[in-house]
Amino acid sequence: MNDATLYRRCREGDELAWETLVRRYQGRVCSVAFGYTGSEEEALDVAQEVFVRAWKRLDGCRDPERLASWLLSIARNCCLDHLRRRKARPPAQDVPAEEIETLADPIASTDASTELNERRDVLEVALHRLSPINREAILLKDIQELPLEEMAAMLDLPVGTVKSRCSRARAELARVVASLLNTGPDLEATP
Amino acid sequence: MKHNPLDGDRRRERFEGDDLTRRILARTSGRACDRAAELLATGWDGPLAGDDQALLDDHLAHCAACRELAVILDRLQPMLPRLAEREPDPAFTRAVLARTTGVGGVRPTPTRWLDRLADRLAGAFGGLWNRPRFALEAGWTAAALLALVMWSPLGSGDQTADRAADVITAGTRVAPALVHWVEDRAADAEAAAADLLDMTSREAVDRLAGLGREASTRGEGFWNWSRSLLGTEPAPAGPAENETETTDRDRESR
Repeated sequence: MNDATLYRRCREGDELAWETLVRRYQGRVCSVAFGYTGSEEEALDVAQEVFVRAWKRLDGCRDPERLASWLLSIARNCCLDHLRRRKARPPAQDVPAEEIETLADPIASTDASTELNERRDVLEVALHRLSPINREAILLKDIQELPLEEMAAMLDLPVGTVKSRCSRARAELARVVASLLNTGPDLEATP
Repeated sequence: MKHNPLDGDRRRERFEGDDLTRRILARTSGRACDRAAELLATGWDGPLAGDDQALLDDHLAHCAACRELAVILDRLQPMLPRLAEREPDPAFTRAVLARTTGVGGVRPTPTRWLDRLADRLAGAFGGLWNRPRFALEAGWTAAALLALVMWSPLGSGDQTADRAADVITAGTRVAPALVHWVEDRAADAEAAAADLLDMTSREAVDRLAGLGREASTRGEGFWNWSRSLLGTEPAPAGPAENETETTDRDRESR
C-alpha cells in the first residue's frame, strides 16, 4: 500500500492503517531521533512523541505522497524541542567539573577501541562529532535521502544554501572519519 | 667552478615542484583543499561541471591529503543510507499504539468541550496513568471531583446565579425532593468511585469522561426538573429521562 492510501485510511480512522504507518516509519524516526539526541533511550522517548504528535495532527500532511517528509519534519521539531528542554534542565545532581565534558558527549566518553569495532560505529561516532548544523544536513540528505527541495522547505532555507551546507557537511564528515581511522579500524574492515 | 648538470635539475624541480606552489598559495589565496573537498562532496549529487572536474583532477594529482579524502568520501556515500533505520523493539510499537489508538481503536475528533478536555488531559498525562500509584491517586481524585459534580445542584455557566436564585425561591417546596435527588447522586458517585478503583488507569480515565458527560446531561435534567417544580415549565417526569426509572424505584423502596 502506498503512502497516500495509507495516510487516507489513517484519516478515515482505520487503526490497522495507523499501525502499519507506525511500523513502516518507526525505524526512520528512531534513526533521526538518535541522530539528534545521541542517546538511544532519549531517541525512543522522542520517537514516541513524534508519533503521538503526528496522530494528533493527522490532518496536517498537505501532500500524502510526501508522508515521510512530513513525519521527519515532526521528528526534527520534536528533537529540537527535546534538546531545548534538555539544555534548560539542570543536572539532577551536582556534577564534578572534570566530568562535565564527558556527560555532554556520551559517545566520546566510551572506550574508543570498543566503539570503533564496527564500521557503523565509526560513522556514528563521526556523526556525533560534527557540528549540529552539519550533522543535521547529513542526517536529512544523505542518511534519510530527502530531496533537496523537501529539505529546504523543512529547514526554511533556499535550495542553494542547503546544497552547499550538505557539501560542507560531507567534507567535514570525511575529515572526522579520516582522523578516527588513524586510531581505529579501516572502513572496509567489516562487511 | 665547474658547472654541475644536476644543479639545473634540482633547480627545475624547485621551480616547478609542489613546494613552490604551496609557498605561492600560502602568500595568495591559501590552500585550495577546502574548495576541493567541497567539490568532492558535491559530486555525490551528480557529475560536476566539466571545468570543475578538470580543476579538481588537477588538484588531486598534486595533493595526497585530498586524494585520501576522496577515497573516504567514495566509501562513505553508500554507507550512510544504511543508517536510515534503527528498528526499535516491539515494545516501542505497542507503546505508541497504546498512546494513540488505545484499546478502543481510532477515536473520532471530539466535538464536545468535555470530550476535548478529556482528550487534552489524556495527552498531557499520557505517560502517567500507566503507573499504579498514579492510578490509585487518580481514582481517589476522580471520585472526589465526581462527587462534587454530582452534588452540585446549580450546574454551571452564565445562568448559575439565576438558577441559584430560583432554587432559593423554591424554598421548602423543593427541599425534600432536592434531598432525595442529592442522596441518589451521592450513591451514584460512591458506586462510581468504587468502580474506578477497581479499574486500570486508562479504563478509569475513560470511565471518568463518560461519567462527566452523564453528569452534564443530569445537570440539564435537574434544571428542567427544578423549573417544573417552580411551575415555570410543564412538568417532566424527573430530573432526566434516564433518571426517571431509578428515582421512582428508589422512592418506592423508601
